[in-house]
Amino acid sequence: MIDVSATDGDGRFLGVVTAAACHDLMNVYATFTQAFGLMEDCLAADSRTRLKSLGFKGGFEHKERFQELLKMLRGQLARAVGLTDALALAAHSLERGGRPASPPEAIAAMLLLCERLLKRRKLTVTLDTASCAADQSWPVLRQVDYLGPLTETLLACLPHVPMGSELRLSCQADAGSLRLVLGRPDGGFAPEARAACQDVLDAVPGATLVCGAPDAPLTLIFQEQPTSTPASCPPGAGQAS
Amino acid sequence: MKKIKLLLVDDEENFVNTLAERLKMRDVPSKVVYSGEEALEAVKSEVPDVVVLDLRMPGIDGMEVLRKVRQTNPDVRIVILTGHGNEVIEEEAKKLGAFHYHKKPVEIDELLGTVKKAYREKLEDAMVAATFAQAGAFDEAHEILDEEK
Repeated sequence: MIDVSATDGDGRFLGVVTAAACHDLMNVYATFTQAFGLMEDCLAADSRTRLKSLGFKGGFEHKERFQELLKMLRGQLARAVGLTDALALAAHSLERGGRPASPPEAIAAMLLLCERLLKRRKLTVTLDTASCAADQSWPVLRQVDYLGPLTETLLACLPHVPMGSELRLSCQADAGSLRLVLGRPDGGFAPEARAACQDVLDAVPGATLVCGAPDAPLTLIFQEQPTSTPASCPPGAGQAS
Repeated sequence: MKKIKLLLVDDEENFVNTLAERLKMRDVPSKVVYSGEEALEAVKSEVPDVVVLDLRMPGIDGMEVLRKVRQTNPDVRIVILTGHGNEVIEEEAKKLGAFHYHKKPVEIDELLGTVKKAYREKLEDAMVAATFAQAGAFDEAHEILDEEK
């Protein structure tokens, strides 16, 4: 449920309608799931009939083709469910109340949503959650306060990193701040990329970019905002896009 | 094993009818209703063992149905199946006595597993209460049945 005390009117409007639509889409997917399942049940029943009648009855001619298509449709449905889940999480990112997702979970969802944009330059972003304990406590921040700048930073970097690069992202909680470390295992970031990221972070109150040496990772630091609710780290939140 | 008296409550007619058809193919027939009002009527006319209940429905919503059924028929096991959930709502449903909380979409075997588990638990509680009652330990029998409230 969207908290009406969120101050960003446009964001709140988009959050409300997106969250409502995402929830309803789950009803649509549930209907698809049962309909595909019923088709599979019917195909299985046909096989049983054929077996019992020693081949005199049943034996749907296009059974294998149908099975292949159903498998493909189920794969696409799982993809739609994943995207919708991620979109619902993003839609709730303005909330101050309730129980928000932890940063690793929220960032994993955001990376899934941005997958198509990153694919334009064949980029892979791997979220490393190895250092996050399951009961990790995180600084008090609205998801939108770090997801928005992180997304913009990634998009600003995009034209300045080599095609097909791998990026690694990790999250750390440190003295009332959230630190997102963005690195490239095969090198640092070009000065243009660093400048573009700096421009993004300069415009975000409470956020700082630490660049370090030319081949060092970029560190995005977001200071705690005491109006939000803290979150804990869910198990297995890390994933690659 | 006696057939489970199963009630499915969901305003998404295509979804719930297909679900009922698949359950029937698995030898688990069910009664289907499409609103909270119909659900309360159905429980009044024939008490089910297990209810699979959607939360967000026009009129009386699932949470209200859950609250009312748990008050009037605490031995009925209620499984929530919703596309509109989050952790806070799940916690609220469990506090009100929901047996389990599934998010849509769910695979039928998973849902059926939960329904059977809910039914088994109901039978076990009834048998334990009956055993105490048979031995004249009515207070203990009542205690077991009251635990469900």
